[in-house]
Amino acid sequence: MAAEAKTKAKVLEVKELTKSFDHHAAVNGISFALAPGSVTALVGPNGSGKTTIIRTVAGLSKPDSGRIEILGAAAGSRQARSVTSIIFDEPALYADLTVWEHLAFSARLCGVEDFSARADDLLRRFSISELHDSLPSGFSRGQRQKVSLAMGLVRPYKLLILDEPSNGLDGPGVRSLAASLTESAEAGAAVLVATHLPDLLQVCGAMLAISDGKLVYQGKPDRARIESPS
Amino acid sequence: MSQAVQERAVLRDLSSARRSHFAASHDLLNVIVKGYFSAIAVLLVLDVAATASKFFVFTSAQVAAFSSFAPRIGAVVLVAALAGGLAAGSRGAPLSLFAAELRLLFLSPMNRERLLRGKAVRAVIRYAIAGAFLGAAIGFGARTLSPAHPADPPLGFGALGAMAGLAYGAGSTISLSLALGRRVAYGIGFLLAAFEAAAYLSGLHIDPFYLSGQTLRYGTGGTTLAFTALGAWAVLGALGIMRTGSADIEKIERHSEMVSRLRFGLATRDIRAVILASRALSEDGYRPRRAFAFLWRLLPSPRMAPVLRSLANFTHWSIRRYVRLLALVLVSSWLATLAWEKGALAYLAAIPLAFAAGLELVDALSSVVDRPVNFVNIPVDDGWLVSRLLVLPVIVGVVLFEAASMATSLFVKGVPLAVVASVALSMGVSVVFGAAITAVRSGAPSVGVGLLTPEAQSFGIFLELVPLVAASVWLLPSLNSHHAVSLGRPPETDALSGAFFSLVVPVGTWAWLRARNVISAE
Repeated sequence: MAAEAKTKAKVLEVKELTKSFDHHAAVNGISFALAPGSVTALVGPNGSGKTTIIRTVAGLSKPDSGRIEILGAAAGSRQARSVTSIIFDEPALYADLTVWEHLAFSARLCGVEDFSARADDLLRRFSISELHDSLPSGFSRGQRQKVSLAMGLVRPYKLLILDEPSNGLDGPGVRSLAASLTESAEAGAAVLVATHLPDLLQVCGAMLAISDGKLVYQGKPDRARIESPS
Repeated sequence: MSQAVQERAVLRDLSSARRSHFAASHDLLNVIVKGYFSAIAVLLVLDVAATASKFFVFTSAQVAAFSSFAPRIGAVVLVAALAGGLAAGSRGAPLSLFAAELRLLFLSPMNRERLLRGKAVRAVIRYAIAGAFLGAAIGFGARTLSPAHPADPPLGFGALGAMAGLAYGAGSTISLSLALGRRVAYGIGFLLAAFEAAAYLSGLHIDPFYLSGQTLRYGTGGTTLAFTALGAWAVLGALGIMRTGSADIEKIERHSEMVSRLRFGLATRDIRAVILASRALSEDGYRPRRAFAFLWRLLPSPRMAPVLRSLANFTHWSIRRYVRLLALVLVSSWLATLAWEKGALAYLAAIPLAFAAGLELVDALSSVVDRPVNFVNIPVDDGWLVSRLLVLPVIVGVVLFEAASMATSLFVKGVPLAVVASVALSMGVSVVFGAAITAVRSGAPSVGVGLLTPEAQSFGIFLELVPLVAASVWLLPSLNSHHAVSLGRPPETDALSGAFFSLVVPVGTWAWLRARNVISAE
């Protein structure tokens, strides 16, 4: 009973995670946990290991050692993926699907058929309603990123992970993103956002700072640590 | 409805939506016109091949000799396909997983194993069909060239091609799913080759490769043996597919990124982009070698910096690239020498191989052209820089082609040495300059092209052929001397005059390199 309560209190639990590439430790013995309803910033310079952590949590990279659990399920398992939504920094869209179809399939692949109202709301929020039936070939970087964000938010999730989500976004886009993160946390999801942008720190209740693959700070958001984590 | 059925229904809808947009965004008339021109090109090649075939008609004795040795050739093809598949699988082949489908499908709760197996099934079937077509095409050619022989090789050759495709698919999927490292995969490939060599030397005719290779004999296609062997390789392919669900996605992703670049290069008809992507696919990058550092001290002058740059590129090649360059030079030289004796078909094969060798030789220039900013940052005229980057490649090219031609002429009797030397000299020079034009033209695209009328833009297709034509100028000394023989004259003088005339390529290229900025501005 006590163990179950402990698991419920942690949506994501990372323990002693280590991952190397060509004998270089990209992530070195990192441990942390995220509680439901929390928004946590993941900061660190380029190459510090943020994306590696995110890819390992997504089950796209296998860790060399350590353990990752999402609501008690191993990272990358079907159970874990059914409650995890991940948005990467580089938007990747099908050239032959419209914006609406991207959102529709993102929801339907998670077993949600009643997605229209949510999808419409997200299109309006990110000011891309007029792109509803457009193919992404002529989209700007920012528009593609907005579609990518809407795809990640339209599906159900208990853990929301975003890797540099504000790349290419305009001012209103960043504000909509910040509002979405807050709403997600209020709905009970745990949010982890890798960012360099001080604006997004305002909505974060906690911060993890990474340097050379090691966790060097864990606590309240601290702007100074974006530039100098240690 | 079960989860699996639901998943399949959503995937079907996804494919259907993609197909409908793809069909809507492609102009049918454009497809028909392209198909029409492609058909003309194929017919032209077939016509040239049919004309050339008059030079190459296999005698019954040659066909009989081939038939007796065919199972061993088939065995070598199968061993090479299986070993090649194992090596490719260690780098993430044969599956392609692109960013959009990774985000949409593989991050969703869909069954990843089933998705990967579905991709593996399609990949293995594609290899089998491609192998069957290639084999049947070679068999068709063999039948055309041996009209006196009653056998029907396309079926047997096609069956062996399908087996080779299945062997490659099985090797790559097994290697990928077992997460074999490069050394292990190459080691197993080497062991397979050693096994086949031992079987050949001991005269054993019971190894599975030899038995499968028997379908290559003239006239044995369609027999029970062919179908049994094909079935056995299909079982191996199925085994590979079944294991693919556990493959490492990270490895597949890396491989897929390279495949994307390769496709982009092919779509834009950028030869150099294709070469760079294929090098990246085989992880054929540069290797740091301090042993050559002493060479740098021999060329201290700043004026020699571009020469030094090309030297650095050569000395940092992987062993595989040296081997590939030597193989290309040797085979193209042999074919060029053979062509003088036998006819046009060997020329057709030699031209692309020699051109590929030229593209390898101009590696330093390609590296500079990769980033237009390199030209901006160097305080000299870019024509000056490009010209000097070609000095060393030309010297290396001429030396290699001369040596290779002299070596291969020992095996092709009846070709005068002066002709061999003239053709080799011309080859060394023209392939380097032809490749240089390709490299320079494939750099930053000219903005002005978009302003031209569609008719003028379509003329660009002819400009795309210029590098290949320039790289093929080495045909001049060969054809010129051949013509002299037909007129009863000694060929040596005509070969030399042809080689001299082919110098128009370096002169023209140099002039173009120095003046192309002015031409673009005009």
